[in-house]
Amino acid sequence: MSDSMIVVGITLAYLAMVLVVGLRARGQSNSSLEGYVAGGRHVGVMILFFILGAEIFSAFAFLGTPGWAYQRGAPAFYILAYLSLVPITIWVLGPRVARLGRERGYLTQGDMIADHYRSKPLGMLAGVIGVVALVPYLTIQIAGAGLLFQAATDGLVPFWLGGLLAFVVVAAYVFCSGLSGIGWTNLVQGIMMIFIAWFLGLAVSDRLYGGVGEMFAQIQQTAPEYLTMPGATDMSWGYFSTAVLVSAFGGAMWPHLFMKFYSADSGRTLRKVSVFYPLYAYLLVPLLLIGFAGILTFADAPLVRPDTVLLKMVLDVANFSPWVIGLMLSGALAAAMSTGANLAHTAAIVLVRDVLTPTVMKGASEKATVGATRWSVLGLSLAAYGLALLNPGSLVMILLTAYGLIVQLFPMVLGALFLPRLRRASVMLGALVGSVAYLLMDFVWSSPLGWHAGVWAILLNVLVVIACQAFMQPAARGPSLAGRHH
Amino acid sequence: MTKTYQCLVGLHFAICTLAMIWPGALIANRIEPTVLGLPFLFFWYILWMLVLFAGMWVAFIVRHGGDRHE
Repeated sequence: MSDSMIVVGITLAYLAMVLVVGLRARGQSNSSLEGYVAGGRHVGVMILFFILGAEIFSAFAFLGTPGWAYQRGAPAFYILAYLSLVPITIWVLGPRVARLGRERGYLTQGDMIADHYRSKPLGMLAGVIGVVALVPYLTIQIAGAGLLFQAATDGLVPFWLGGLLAFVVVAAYVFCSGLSGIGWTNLVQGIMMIFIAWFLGLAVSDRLYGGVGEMFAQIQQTAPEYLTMPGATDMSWGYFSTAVLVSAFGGAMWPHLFMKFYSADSGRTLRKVSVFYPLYAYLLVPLLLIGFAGILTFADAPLVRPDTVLLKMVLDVANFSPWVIGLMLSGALAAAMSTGANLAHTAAIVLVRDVLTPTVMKGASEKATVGATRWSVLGLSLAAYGLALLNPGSLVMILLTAYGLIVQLFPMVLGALFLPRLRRASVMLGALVGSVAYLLMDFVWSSPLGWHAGVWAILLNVLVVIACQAFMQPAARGPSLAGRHH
Repeated sequence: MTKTYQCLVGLHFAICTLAMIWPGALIANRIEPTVLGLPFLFFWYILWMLVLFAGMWVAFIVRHGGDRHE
C-alpha cells in the first residue's frame, strides 16, 4: 500500500466516525424548530464548551496561527490574546441573552433586534448581513478542507473531491441532526484537535531541534527579532492592541456565536463554559511552536505562502510516517469541519427566520420552517462549495468587510440587553455611520494612527448613538417591550 | 455584595485585558528570562490565560457555587 493510500484510509475512517456520531446524535426534539436550532435550549456545559471552541477554532486558526508565528513571530500572540479574552463577552452577555431568548422565544440576533426596537426591517438587515458574512466564511472552510486533502495525499485526492467529501459529511449530519449533531461531532473533533495539535507541536520541535527550549535558544541566537514585539514585520503596539480588542469583543456579534447563547440550558452553564474557555486557547500553543520551528528551517528559502508552514513542516521536513500525516490531516479537517457545520447551520437559520419568514414565508407552519431550514443547510453548503471551486480571490475581502459590519451591531445589541432607553433611531444612525466609516477606512483612506479600523468605526458609532440620545427628541411611543421586563 | 462583586469581576477582566495588550504587555516584551524553555513574552501570554481562568473560576464559585438552578 502506498503512503498516500494509508493517509486516505485513516482520513476516510475519521470521516466515517464523525458521520456516525453526527447521525446518531439525532434527538427526539429535532422536529421542532427550537430543537433543531437551539437543541431545545437544553445544551449543557460540556457540549457547549466544545461548540463555542470549535466555532472560533477554524481551518484559519489551524493553518493561520503557525503561519503568523513563522512570518511575523511575536505578533502571533495576538491570536492567543484574543482567544483567551473571548470568554469575557460570554460571561457578560451570555446569561442575559439566554434568559431573554427563553422568555420571548428568540432564536436569532435578528429576532431580538426586531422585537426590542419594534422594527422588522432592522431584524432583516441584521439577517442579510449575517448571511453575506457567513457564506464566504463557510467557503473558506471548504476550500481549506480541499487544499489539505490535496496536499496531504500528494494529489491522490484532488481539491474538488477533498472539499466535497468533507462537506457532504457535514451537510448530512447538520441536515439530519441539527444542533445536537453539531454538538456531539464538535466534542469528538475538539478532543482530536487538542490531542493532534499537542502531539505535532512537541514532536516537530523535538525532531528538528531536540526540544522546545533548544529551539528557542537557536532562534534567539540567529533571529531574536522574532521573539519580541514588534516582531519581524514591525507590527505596532497600536495595531496589535486594537486588533485584539476588536476580535475579542466584536467576535461575539458573529451570529453563529451569539445564537449559541440561546441554546444553553441556563445562564449558569454559560458562565461555567466561559470559565473554562481560556483553556481551549491553549490548543494554539503547540501550533505556535510549529510556526516558530519554521523560522530557522525555511530561513534560506522563505515560503511564498506563510499559512502552508504547518503542512510543509509535517509533510516535507519532519519526515513523519504516513500514519502521523493521516492524523494531521484528520485534525486539520476537524478544525475546518467543526467550524463549517456551525456556519452552515447558522446561515440556514438566519436565512429562513430573519429573511424568508417575514417576506415570502409569512405564516408558515413550524414544520414547514424546520423543513426550509434543513434544505437551506444543503443549499447554502452547495453554494459555498461552488464558490470554493471558483476560488475568487476577493473572498477574504468579503469576509473581512462583512465582519467589520457585523461588529457595528454591538451598540444595538447592548442596547437591547442592558440599556432599554436607547432609541431605534440612535442605534440605526450609529450603525450606519460606523459601517460607512469602516468601509471608507478599509478601501479609501488608511486608518488613523495605524490602528485597527474596527476600533475607530465602533468609537464613531458609539459617539453618534450618544449624540442622538442627547439631542434628538424621543419618538412618541411607549417603552419598548424588553424595557418593561427590567 | 452584588455591587462589590461586579466591580471586582470587572476589575479582573480589565487587568487581564490590559496585561495582554498595550501598555501591560510592554513590561514583558523581552526574551530573558526564559520559562519552561519559552521566551518571556510567550510565557507571559500563557501565564495571563491561566490568571484569567483562575479569577473567573473564583468568581463562578462565589456567585454560582451552591445553586444548580441559577
